[in-house]
Amino acid sequence: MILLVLAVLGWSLSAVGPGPANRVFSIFDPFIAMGNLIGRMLPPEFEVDSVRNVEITLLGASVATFQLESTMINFFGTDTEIGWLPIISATFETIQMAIIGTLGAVLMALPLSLLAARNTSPHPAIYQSIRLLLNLMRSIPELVYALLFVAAVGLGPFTGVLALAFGSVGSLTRIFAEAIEQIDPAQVNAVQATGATGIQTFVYAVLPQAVPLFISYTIIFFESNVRHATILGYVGAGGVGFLLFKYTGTSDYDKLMGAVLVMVVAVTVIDRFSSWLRQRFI
Amino acid sequence: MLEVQDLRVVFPNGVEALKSISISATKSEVIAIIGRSGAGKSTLLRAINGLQRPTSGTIKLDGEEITRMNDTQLRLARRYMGFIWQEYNLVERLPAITNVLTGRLGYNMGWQSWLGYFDKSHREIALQNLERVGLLHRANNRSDKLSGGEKQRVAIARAISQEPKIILADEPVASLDPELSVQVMEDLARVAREIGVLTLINIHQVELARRFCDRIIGIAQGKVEFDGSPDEMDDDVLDRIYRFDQPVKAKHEPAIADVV
Repeated sequence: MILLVLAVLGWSLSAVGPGPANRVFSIFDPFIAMGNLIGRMLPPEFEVDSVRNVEITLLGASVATFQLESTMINFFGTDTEIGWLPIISATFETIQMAIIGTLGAVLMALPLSLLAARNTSPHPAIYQSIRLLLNLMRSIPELVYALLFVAAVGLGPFTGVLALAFGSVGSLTRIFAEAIEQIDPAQVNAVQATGATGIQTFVYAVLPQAVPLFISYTIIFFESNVRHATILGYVGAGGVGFLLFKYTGTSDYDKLMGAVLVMVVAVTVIDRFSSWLRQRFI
Repeated sequence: MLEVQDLRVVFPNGVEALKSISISATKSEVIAIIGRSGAGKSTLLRAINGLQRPTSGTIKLDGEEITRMNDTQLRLARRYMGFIWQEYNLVERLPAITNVLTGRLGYNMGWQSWLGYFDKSHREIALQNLERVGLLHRANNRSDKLSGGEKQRVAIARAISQEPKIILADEPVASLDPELSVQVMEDLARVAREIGVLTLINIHQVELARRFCDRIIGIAQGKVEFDGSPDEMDDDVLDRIYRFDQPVKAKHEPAIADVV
């Protein structure tokens, strides 16, 4: 048994161990290399737009436009440039993408989950084929969807929205369907016994039991979509990913660190907010 | 009104739940159905409601033959049959009033009902029926916040909101304590008489059946063993319903009526 484990480990290591390109000569080298990189990332720096046109739009109409110019201030003896950070715009765009992408996934998952739940599916064949379709959709990662949609509909945040929606609809449908399967059938029977139609039974007996779970899962998916949306910019699908791509491409590792710090703050705030929101629905 | 003839139900596993049941009810009365556990009381109610298809025999309600209906006809017929369950079976997350309104779904078939909309006439019926069972002040409480007795009263209000031709109650007080059992049975019998609807109640407590019902039907071994007024039911009848498989008891042993 131990020999088998060692054999599997050796077999795996022989394929993925360090090669000549890695410049690794001792067990400490990878840590030293990481340390060097982190040293180059410190202190973090923020890219500041020297001039930025800010436009506030409401329902498609422009409400206010103004220019934000960066200024130099003396901050404890060091000159510091204060102004609009492009990473903040990109973070908001990422959150917007996650909201709309999650919404799209929910809209697709609601009808699909009805067909994919054993107790509401009209026919076992439909149930099986929907499950097969879901597995197919789930086996493709968001990044691959993003690449496909960049090719199909071009660059931009809308592409990222599509990638997020299609990337999460498979898993979301699956857990929605499992929420529907967990409901109490006696309550459904009781509503059916009043002579209610199938749709009415769904609205009055299935939904009230399943919706709190739906909301909870949707919030979890929104959180995870914020994090997934980060990476989509790497392939040109909007959000902070593009900035990360730019900074790594130009070896501006200190700016990368600044961007990461902003994202840490954003993700933490969203995490707190969504657990607060979730508690109100359970 | 209700005409059950030679009803026989055999389950897929070969168990013969009902051998041959014939019941006829011509006026609005409150009928108790008694019998041992597994005697087929629940199966009888489920067959009348169409939840259980009979193997043979016929059930007619107001001349309509339930046993011959297809699914759509059955759904329409169920509008006139209020069902009260042992475990209440309210939709727990909805407020009491919405649970009562589900009794109106059969009369509010349009798409508005999908959005939870009931017009004034439906809401008035629901509120009136909640008042009948004394729970108007609990209308907006979520059902899972109600006590057992309150839940069963809401279930009674839901059943009568269907404006039923018949109410079927399957062990309505079996999950309640003795005190509440009396109160809920009293409410059920009173409400049924107020609106004048034929009511069938499966019940284990013979004493409650005697006290609140106009007529008692005893079922044993899948057959009607007794059918008559509460006064006609004596210890001998109870022995036939509850102790058919035991040798004749000596006189000094307590009869089941003393026990329950």
